[in-house]
Amino acid sequence: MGFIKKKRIYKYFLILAFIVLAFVITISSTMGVADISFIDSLRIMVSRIPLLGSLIDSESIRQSHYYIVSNVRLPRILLSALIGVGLSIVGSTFQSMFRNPMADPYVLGISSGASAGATIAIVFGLGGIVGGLSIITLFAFLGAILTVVIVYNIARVGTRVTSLGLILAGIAVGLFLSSMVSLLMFFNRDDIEKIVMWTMGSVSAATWNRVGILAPVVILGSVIIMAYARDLNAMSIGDETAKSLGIEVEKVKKILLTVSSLIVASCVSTSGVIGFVGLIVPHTIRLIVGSDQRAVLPFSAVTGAIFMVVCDTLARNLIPPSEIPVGTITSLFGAPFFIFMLYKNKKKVI
Amino acid sequence: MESRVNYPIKIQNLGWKYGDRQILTNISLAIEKGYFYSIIGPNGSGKTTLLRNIAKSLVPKPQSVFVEDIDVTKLNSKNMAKRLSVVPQNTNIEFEFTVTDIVLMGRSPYIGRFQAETSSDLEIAQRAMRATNTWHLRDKRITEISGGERQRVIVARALAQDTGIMLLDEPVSQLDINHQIELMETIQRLTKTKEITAVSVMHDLNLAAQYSDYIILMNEGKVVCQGTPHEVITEENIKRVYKLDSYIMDNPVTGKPYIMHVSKDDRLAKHSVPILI
Repeated sequence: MGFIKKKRIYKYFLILAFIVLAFVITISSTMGVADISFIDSLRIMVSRIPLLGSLIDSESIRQSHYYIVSNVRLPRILLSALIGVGLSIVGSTFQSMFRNPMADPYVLGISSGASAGATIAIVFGLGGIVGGLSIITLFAFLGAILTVVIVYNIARVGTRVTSLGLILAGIAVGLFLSSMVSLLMFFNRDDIEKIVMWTMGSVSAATWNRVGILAPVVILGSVIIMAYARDLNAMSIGDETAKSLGIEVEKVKKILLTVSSLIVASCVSTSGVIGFVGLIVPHTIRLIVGSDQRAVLPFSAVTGAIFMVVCDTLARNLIPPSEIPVGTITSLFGAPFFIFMLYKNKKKVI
Repeated sequence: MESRVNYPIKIQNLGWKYGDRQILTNISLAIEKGYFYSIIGPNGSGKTTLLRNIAKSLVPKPQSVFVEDIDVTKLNSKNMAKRLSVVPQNTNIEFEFTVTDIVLMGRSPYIGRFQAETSSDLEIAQRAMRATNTWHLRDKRITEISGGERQRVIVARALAQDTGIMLLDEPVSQLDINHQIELMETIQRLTKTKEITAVSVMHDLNLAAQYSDYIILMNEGKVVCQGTPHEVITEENIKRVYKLDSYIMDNPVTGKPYIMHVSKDDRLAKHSVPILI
């Protein structure tokens, strides 16, 4: 069955997925050292929504609970949800655009670039805060963007870039930067723990400020990418085919690369390297709904958000009071699930 | 107005270089509307480069390739895609689209970024699938059908593009003989019934001779000769271009030329050939 026939069903399932996301967010906000009931959590969150909030009487809720949910847990949950959206959307975009199922958001070396930037900031002890963001975050962002620019220019032939060229350049530059990070760690042993913790990925530094910066980038970026869903479909068959179907392939590639890079750079610089989400979420979705990006992108976005919120909830609750880096959880729980999906699908084909 | 365009593709003094290598030299052609043209020639003779110049996937020099009397360098991708469709050589698709989805992609040049396919797009796709005998595959995934079926689906997509011109790059070279014939017959039928102008790069000389109205023979980047299969497929031309000795007879059923390759040893015993006739 094609996309057109299933459009209506997809719409209902997408609404259902949003409801699940809202439910997961509420559950997550009740979990933690302070014991807050589901209803209270829900009331606190609704009270924060403009207009709707005035209808809720939040006087009866304990002030400390109100603070914990709305200023500690909620920004963290929303940040992980946004990162889940961003990484999944970009992963799906790259897999289609590069016609490579192995592609993930970091395939252009963005994660290594961000790590190198963050490492430099850590090693040189640049710990200040600029515009509400730590210098480490800013350096990570700059490192990520700079890396993409370098990779793009290595892969560029005239005004064209080939997918293979981009991937190879991304791997090469990424490996180079990774070894640079190792070298920096070797010469600055005192900072090793801090650097390793950064690269493992965590959203524990969440603030409303960070949510406010990440949200427009991820949401606007995702909307732009979704507007190109049909072009991505054609490009997943082949650049030449896409061109013969009237798509300005080189122009679309540039737009999507720019938007995707901005999304990933923003995500990775706020949270460190969170692996696997951008690889397995789009794949899992594709196993269920097929390859049409008009379905894959929105479902990946919501599922990515759900997945990240669940993983981060586990990260902060599994061994209290300490935290497991969320990047470890995503792989630890994501990999077996993905293997299960692959196995099940293999059986279906045979 | 459309009916006055009798030569939807015109080529004037087209040349093409890959770096320092001259691939095409001074090619001039006029392709007549509603006919099936085959481009033949040995490997490296420039067939595919010529096709890609017409399709603008290699951008030719201005004033050298005209599609429906418009210089292709002046046409943007969308307007090009409304005039000319392409069936590429390699149609391996790894992503799991249904056949209907693939055929509907042919409607892309007519659909705006924020629009969805209309029922008329679906109707056009359906007609294209029926014309290529792929309608029964409509709900199948493109990854689970055979090579021959997939190639017909790609032709259906090109058909859904609703263009006057269809370019094909060795569309049958990877298919079994029965699928080759099925596809060639489909293309032949489309040129006859829908007045589509088809230009196809072909490897198999006998298939080209059998199904096309006109043949363009290329060698070393130049057009050696062009004309009906009888005019082009001659022992002299085959000898000149392919350096092969051959014996050509008319297919007793269709009357089209049919090449039999003769090795040097056979030629010594040429007396045996007349007995065959």
